[in-house]
Amino acid sequence: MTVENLTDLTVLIVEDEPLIAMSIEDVLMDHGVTCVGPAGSVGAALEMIKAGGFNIALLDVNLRGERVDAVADRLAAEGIPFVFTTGHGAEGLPDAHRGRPVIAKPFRDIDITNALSRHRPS
Amino acid sequence: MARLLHSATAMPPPGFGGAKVPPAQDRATVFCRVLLLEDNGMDADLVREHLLLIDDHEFEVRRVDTRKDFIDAVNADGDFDLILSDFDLPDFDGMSALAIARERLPRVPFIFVSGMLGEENAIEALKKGATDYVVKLRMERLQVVVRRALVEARDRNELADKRQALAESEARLRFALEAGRLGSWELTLATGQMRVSQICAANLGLADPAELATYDALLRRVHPEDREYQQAAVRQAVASGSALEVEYRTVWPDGSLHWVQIRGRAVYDRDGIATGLAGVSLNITDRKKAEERQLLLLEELNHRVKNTLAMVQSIAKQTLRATPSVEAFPDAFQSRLRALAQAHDLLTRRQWQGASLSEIAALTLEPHMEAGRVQVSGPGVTLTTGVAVSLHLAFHELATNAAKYGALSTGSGRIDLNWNLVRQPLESRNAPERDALVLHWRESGGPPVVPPTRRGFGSRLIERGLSHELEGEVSLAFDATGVQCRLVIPLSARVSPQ
Repeated sequence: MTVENLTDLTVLIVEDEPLIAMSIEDVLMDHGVTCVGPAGSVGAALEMIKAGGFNIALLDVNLRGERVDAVADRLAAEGIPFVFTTGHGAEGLPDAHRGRPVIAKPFRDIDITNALSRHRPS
Repeated sequence: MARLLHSATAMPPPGFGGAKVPPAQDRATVFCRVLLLEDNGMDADLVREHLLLIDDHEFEVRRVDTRKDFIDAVNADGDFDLILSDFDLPDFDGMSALAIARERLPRVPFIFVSGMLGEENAIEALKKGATDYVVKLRMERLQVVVRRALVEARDRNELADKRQALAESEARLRFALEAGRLGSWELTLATGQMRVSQICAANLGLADPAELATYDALLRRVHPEDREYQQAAVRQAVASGSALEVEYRTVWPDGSLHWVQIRGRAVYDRDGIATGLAGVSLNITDRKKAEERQLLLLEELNHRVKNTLAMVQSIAKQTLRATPSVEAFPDAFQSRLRALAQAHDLLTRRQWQGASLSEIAALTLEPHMEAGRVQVSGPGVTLTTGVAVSLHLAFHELATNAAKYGALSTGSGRIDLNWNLVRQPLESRNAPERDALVLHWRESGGPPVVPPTRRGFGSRLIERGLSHELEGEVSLAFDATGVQCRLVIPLSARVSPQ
């Protein structure tokens, strides 16, 4: 699959593990994607949503032991698409958002770019 | 072999037919030990003669004639089946002997055999526990009286033994049930009546077993969602005769939730009709909680393994990006992997409850501290696991750089790592003043520092990764005199004074 042009995207990264966040940033920047964040806690993520300036989000399911449900709820309410990243499998997803796309950790670069092109805002 | 031989010779040869075998219905001889308190030898002989007249009994008579001998006989060797006593003795009297015998040998029948015993004395003696009395003028009564006393005593003693055995057995059962914290219960099917033990009631949060007098009362204690399941299990056990084994939740009167395990079995009458159920109950709340905890731990472990794999992947990718050649990759990668493993070792030793800042510093710097090249100081600070891992990886990058290019690359350089808790506002945010941890890494005495042309993995991890993880300020400066790193981390539940 050829990766389509993602340069028009700005992605909010919600991830509590700095190494993983850096790795995601690398993939995105390699594809000319602009990054916002990373937000490492629910509070920081909600602040960044308030500030806006992005059009899709990558969402870790668990941030320092706190579930990310409130962040997913807010994004859904704002109509901003998002993709979960998780080591838990689908059963760890917030109940209200089970239908959302999931990237399993550890992931390949192409898993990130594919998910973004598939679920980018239309 | 000897036994075989013996039994062979003891057995009469078949058809020999000479010896007369006694009829089976012949009663065995009853052997009786008698304590006889009698000062008069002729009277004693008279008693012996009359005892001899009693069929199927063999008497061994021990005669005493003083107070002291009587007491000794009762105390030292109480194994008597019968006590016969004169009423008047030179240094003793029958009523005192009776009192002693009742106290020491309450199960042994006591019969007065006396020359004269007025009606008043006789009544008094029977009141005080004498079994019977025989006056010497009517000695022939002795046979009947003794025979009856022995039979009655045997029956009475057997019953007492059985009662005692039953009481002991019940006590043992109760002890075992209590030791095992097992409640016991019985249900009568026809009436729905229940009888439960104290522990059984306590398992359902009730102090008084009377509060569980019926099956309906019990059902009300069962969690509403488990009632149908509980009833179905009971019906099944009654219908099939199989063991009842069910675990259900119970809501205690204080509103708290507990788990109970029930084991039981149906009880049947002679016609095979189930009349009830009986069994035990056990509070398994702790076990259920442990099971839930174990499940959570497994999920947490899975999450942690996946997360660690993602971290390893990330380290690999970023090391590959930053290393100038493929040959340099294995060394750089493995050294970082080792640092990650060290942090996990330390956190495992601390049950993943976090670690102290000085422990984390020592993990990387201990060898250099011992050599006097590194000085570390600061107050006690507790870090949560995530912060501990990130700081350890950062120290590892700084120390690796120092060993390759900085203060630890020559014999004269040194590193000072100091931290303090200070009250200071964050520069970049309009946050209110709050306490912060300020940490300094200062290298000196090394070769002149040449700032790198591009930021490598270590710089990025410290500048980007740490500030992200710690939500604080990070500055990394490649001063000519030595690398300086300064962290300002707001205190929180994740970074807190010890």
